[in-house]
Amino acid sequence: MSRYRAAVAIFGLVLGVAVLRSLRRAHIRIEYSSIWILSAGSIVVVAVWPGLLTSAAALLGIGDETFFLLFMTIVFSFLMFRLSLAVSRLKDDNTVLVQRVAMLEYELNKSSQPGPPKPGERL
Amino acid sequence: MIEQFSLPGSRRFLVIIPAWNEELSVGGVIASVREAVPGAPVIVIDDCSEDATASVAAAAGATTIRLPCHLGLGGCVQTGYKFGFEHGFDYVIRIDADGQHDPKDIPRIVEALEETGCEMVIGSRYLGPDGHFTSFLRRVGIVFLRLLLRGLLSASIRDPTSGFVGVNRRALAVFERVFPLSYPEIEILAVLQRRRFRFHEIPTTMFRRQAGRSSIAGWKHLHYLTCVVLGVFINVLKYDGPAPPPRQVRD
Repeated sequence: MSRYRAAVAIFGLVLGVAVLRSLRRAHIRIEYSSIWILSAGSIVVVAVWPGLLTSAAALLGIGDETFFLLFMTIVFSFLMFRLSLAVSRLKDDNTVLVQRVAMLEYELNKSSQPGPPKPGERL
Repeated sequence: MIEQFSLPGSRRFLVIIPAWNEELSVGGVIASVREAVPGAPVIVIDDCSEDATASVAAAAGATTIRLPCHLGLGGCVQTGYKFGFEHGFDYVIRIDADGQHDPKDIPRIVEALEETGCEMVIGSRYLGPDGHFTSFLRRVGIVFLRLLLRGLLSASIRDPTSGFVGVNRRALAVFERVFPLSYPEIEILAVLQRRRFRFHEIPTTMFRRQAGRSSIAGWKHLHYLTCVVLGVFINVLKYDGPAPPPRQVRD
């Protein structure tokens, strides 16, 4: 195995271990971890047996390994886009929740605040 | 002149001070606001500061809303707008917690809101005779943003990054639902134009920061500009159709 293939295999292994550790610590949800585990496994397998890339390309009728990799990049990009949508939506929801919690907390504790929240009155 | 804004029955306004790690300056800003507009309600929105900003603000006599997570400037300011809208204020004036703005200008901003009927009045550091303390990089960025806004929105604005801003209830009704969360000052102008709202600039005094440092410094200028340009373009793309030129009010 060449040094480059070994480096790629090690990268795949490190990625896989990082994902599994994150799963064990509940830092990542299972539905979002599957794509990363699959990616890590694929990287290791292709690094060890590079001929599989040619076989996979032929199986899909692509013929050229370069275009097969491009195809996989496109698939991966769509998945990343989907994850970015999920993160953006969660961030927006989080903003609304944080603001609401802060204002409710204010309403609960306003007796200890300097003044009432009515317009025209000193707060 | 000042007292009319705190008399019962007059148009009622709220002063909001978004603050993040501003324990050294927020107390002085609150005291200055109290002195400039006695009786005006003042709310500090503490963006989950890691220092004593919230307790300093409370000790200075301001009502304090503490965000449980750090949201960034846009989320922090929007909290103040939501509060003002839900509590029925006619106007909300935003002033920075770093002491760069002169609270004595608040009555003039409220006056301008009332007299012009504009949805937003911006306190500009570049319209007045006083000095304006900005770094060279920031000045270059402001010139670039002026040109961008003039080209994209057909709007001429001298100080597009000003954080000294007053809005009326029509604007609050929009901003409590739709507000740019990362770098609000520029993008909000695009939102205003989409709604066919008007803005107006008045000269205001700008001081040096009392303490702390700007969150936009060094290489972050470039990141800021990139995000702002993208944000403005996205807001332009949201247009439903051709919009008329903004009804900018001039002196």
